[in-house]
Amino acid sequence: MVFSSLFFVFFFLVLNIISQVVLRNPRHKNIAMLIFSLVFYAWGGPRYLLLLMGMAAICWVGALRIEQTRTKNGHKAAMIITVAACLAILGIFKYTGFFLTTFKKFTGLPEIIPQIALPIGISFYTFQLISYVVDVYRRDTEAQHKYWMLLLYASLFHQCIAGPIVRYKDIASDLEKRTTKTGEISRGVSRFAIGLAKKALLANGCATLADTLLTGTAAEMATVPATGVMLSSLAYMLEIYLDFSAYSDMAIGMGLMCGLHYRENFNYPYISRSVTEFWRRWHISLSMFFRDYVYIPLGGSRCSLGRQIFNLLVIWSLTGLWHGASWNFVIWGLGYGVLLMIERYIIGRDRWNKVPAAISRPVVLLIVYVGWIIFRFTDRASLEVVLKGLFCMNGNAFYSTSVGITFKNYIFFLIFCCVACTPFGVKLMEKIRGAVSGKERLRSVLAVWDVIYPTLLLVLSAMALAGDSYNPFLYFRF
Amino acid sequence: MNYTDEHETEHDIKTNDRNDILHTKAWLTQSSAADEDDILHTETPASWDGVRLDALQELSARRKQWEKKRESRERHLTEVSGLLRIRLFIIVLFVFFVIGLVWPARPDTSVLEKRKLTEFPTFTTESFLDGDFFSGISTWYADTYPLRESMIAGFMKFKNLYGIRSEQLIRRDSTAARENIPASADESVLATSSDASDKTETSVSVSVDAPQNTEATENAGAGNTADAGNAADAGNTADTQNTEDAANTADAGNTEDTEDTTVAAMDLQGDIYISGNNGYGLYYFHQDQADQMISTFNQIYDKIHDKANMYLMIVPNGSAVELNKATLESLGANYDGDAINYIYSGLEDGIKTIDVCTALKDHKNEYIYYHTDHHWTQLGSYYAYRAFCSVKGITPHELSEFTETDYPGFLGSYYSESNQAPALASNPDTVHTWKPNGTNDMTFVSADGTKTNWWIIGDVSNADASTKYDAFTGGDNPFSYAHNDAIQDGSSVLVVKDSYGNAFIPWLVDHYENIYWIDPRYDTTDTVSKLESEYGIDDVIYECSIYNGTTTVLQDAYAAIGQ
Repeated sequence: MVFSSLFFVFFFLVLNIISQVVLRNPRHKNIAMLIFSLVFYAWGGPRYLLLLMGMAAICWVGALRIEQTRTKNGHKAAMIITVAACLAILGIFKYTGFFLTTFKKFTGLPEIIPQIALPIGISFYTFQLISYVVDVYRRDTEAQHKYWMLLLYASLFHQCIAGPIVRYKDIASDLEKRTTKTGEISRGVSRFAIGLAKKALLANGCATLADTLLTGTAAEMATVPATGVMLSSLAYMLEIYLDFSAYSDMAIGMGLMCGLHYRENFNYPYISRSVTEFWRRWHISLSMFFRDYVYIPLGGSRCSLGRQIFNLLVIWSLTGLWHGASWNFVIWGLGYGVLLMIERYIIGRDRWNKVPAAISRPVVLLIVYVGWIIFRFTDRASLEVVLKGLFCMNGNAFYSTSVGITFKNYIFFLIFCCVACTPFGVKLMEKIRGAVSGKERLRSVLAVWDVIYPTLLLVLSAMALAGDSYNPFLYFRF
Repeated sequence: MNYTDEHETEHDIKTNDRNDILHTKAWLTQSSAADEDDILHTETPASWDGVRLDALQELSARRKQWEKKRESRERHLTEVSGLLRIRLFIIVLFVFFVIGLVWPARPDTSVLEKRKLTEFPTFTTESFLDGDFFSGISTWYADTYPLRESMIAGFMKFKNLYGIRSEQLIRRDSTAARENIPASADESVLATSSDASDKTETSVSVSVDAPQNTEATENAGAGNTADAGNAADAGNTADTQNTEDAANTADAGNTEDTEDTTVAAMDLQGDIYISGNNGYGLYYFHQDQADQMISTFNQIYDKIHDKANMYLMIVPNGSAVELNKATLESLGANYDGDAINYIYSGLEDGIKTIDVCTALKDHKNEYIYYHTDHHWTQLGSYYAYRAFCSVKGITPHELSEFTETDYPGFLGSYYSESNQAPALASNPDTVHTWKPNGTNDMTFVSADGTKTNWWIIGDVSNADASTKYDAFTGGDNPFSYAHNDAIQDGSSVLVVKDSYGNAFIPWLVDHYENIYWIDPRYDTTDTVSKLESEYGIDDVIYECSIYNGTTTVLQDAYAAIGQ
């Protein structure tokens, strides 16, 4: 099930809210939440529910074992075994095909590559569970003694299939206590509505634009005019941020509605002035995961230069691979790694920070733009055609009337989406609030707006979803 | 945006606190610029000498109290507005939830989109395990949601804000890519076409194995390389489809809706271009399809040329007539006129082709195509009829000889396929009709064999806005006929047509005693053999739109008719 569907918003979520309002006892609330989450997950094929439950069971046992063996020094082994088991499962389901295909290229073996369907959300919940096990090992949190509570954490429908990667220690107390405050629910409502609208109106619109302009086989894409390729890539760049951050917004919003506090996952990445900054603002929960559970254990930046470079390369190829089992993701990730190293060791962060924003921002945006093109096409032929197409190197035209029409049809929409990627809206509202404070009448207008805008966005999103001709789910690879 | 309001209040509180401290300090050091605040003003001491320190402290305490009150009032306000926000949101969410629960209000067909809506999935262990059952429920829920069509229409109006929408392209054909059209079907092409005809014959022989099933050929033909086994499989699939279709038709029950909705929607393929308030269908040429069409019609001609005269008219899209070639090519599409000429150039000389495209272009400024639908108007078909008359060598009737009736308020396929583009909604069509003089009575035979008496020009004033083109011959039916008593020479015509033909049939009524028309998209093999043997047809007119003609679906259907 996806958040951006009429069925989820008007059926599943309503029933979920009713259950959370009617049930008073936190334990009952949690049981209801677990049932809803399991149904939600099962919607994509109940088979994989067993995998999720199994992995949660492994980590549940593993963490308990860590706790028990702590005095006897066996806890490190318990942690390693548990994490290795999780990674093995992730590896089998996500990377078998990829590794065998690559292996076959060099050795010609094996003959048949097994087709394993990727269980939805596996990368998200595996990482969540790993973070739990490691945190128990590090004594950052206590092990959860109830299996079903750990399963609830792993399967919680707010974030199970599209992030953010929530740490157990961040929501452990929320899960036990579940206090809800009007202010938080109200914030949750508007956050959810904003997320829904971001997905249904903006991201889906960008997706339509991106995919109508540039679609099909490599040969078909070779005829698309350069401006078409550029516009499509721009739309894709907008889509991927709006879509992804919309899911996080909806997750955070729904969390607030029932007293669960998730951390922010995006912080306007497209206004970054350096690649380092971009990755501090983009998919924060993933970067933090790699920082805390891979980079720092490897020694981080407090070691020799050679080791540092090695660490960075490991981190960035893993980041790439996490996004999909395909070489283009590795290239995409390593590319960022290399750029980060250039920024850190060759240019120097201080020197780069002195570059005026008017130059550094466009440079970063251009890097990100090219990055998303590499990210978008998993097969090499298509990627080559598209990259060449940008410069009319396929013998394609520069411009065509139909590209012009499409651009004109979406011009205000595109401007709006670009602005929506910046904190401009938030800043503007702050200004307005500052300006109207003390002016009673304007204040009441603003108060009315505050009350109704989430509902307006909900209705508008519902209308957009009703047409639902284009509503892609981007995270099936993750 | 949502979390700023709280930040904002926090920020306010902080500044207030700071101001408070500053103010108190100012008072204590007897800064005269105390405040403009009303409460403080009234209590401003007259002179510093007479003021005791505790009074000052009292003042500052009062001020603090007042600030606290204001704070709590603000908090209260945010609390109230937060509560209202939650309530409003939940109420609206709940209203949508309840609407979604009203089972009887859920439609099973969409008249506007001319399709059967998704059915509630049937439960099987397999579909349950792989998730199809659940995803089926989601699709069913959204597809049959009671307010769906009005919600889409509303959203399309909203989308007008997205940009300058004086011109729009609605992409429906994902494989749309223009091929160059050769000037004529030269020998090399004919060689390949005879190659293609071999393949068609194979597929035809398969259709003999699977009798009563024209669509079996369609599928077999679609994959030219398909071996017999595959073709048989295709036949099976088609078989199930046919049964389903038949069931659908039976479901519809109501006479006016007996046409199979899924078939009727097949007419419109390709992308839609909207310029101003007019819709146009775009055509993409595919040489293999065109060549196969040539070979299909040549084969038909070989079979029937000693029995009847064979006429062929390929009807172009409105875009070919009303827009110029350069515009079409700049949109990445092909000019239908060239494609039609190419096909005509490859046909046997004995086939009497009617150059509809030129005939229509002479009247391009008249109302010959609908703006919101892909069909030509009856006026458009009138000019095609005049062209037919000149090929046949008879005198056409003048338009003034017929009685005209108009049915306004037609919003056709471009409107529904563009997801209800507001530009088209603002420009609804009028269906102008001219009744034949000889007779307006006809009979149609539905897919299940039932005969229904109908009108050649029916009254559609009360029909749904999207179905008004059904004024002509009651829409598409497998087989229909009319008898004109005013003519007693035994002359008979058979029209093998798609839906464009519906508007054309009325003009023929005053020239023949017996008028038969069949729609090859239905299973009509039986009918055709009967027609040939029992009724003695003089003229066979093949009418197809450029898209249908070059689509394998129809070609194979035509091929089957030629048997």
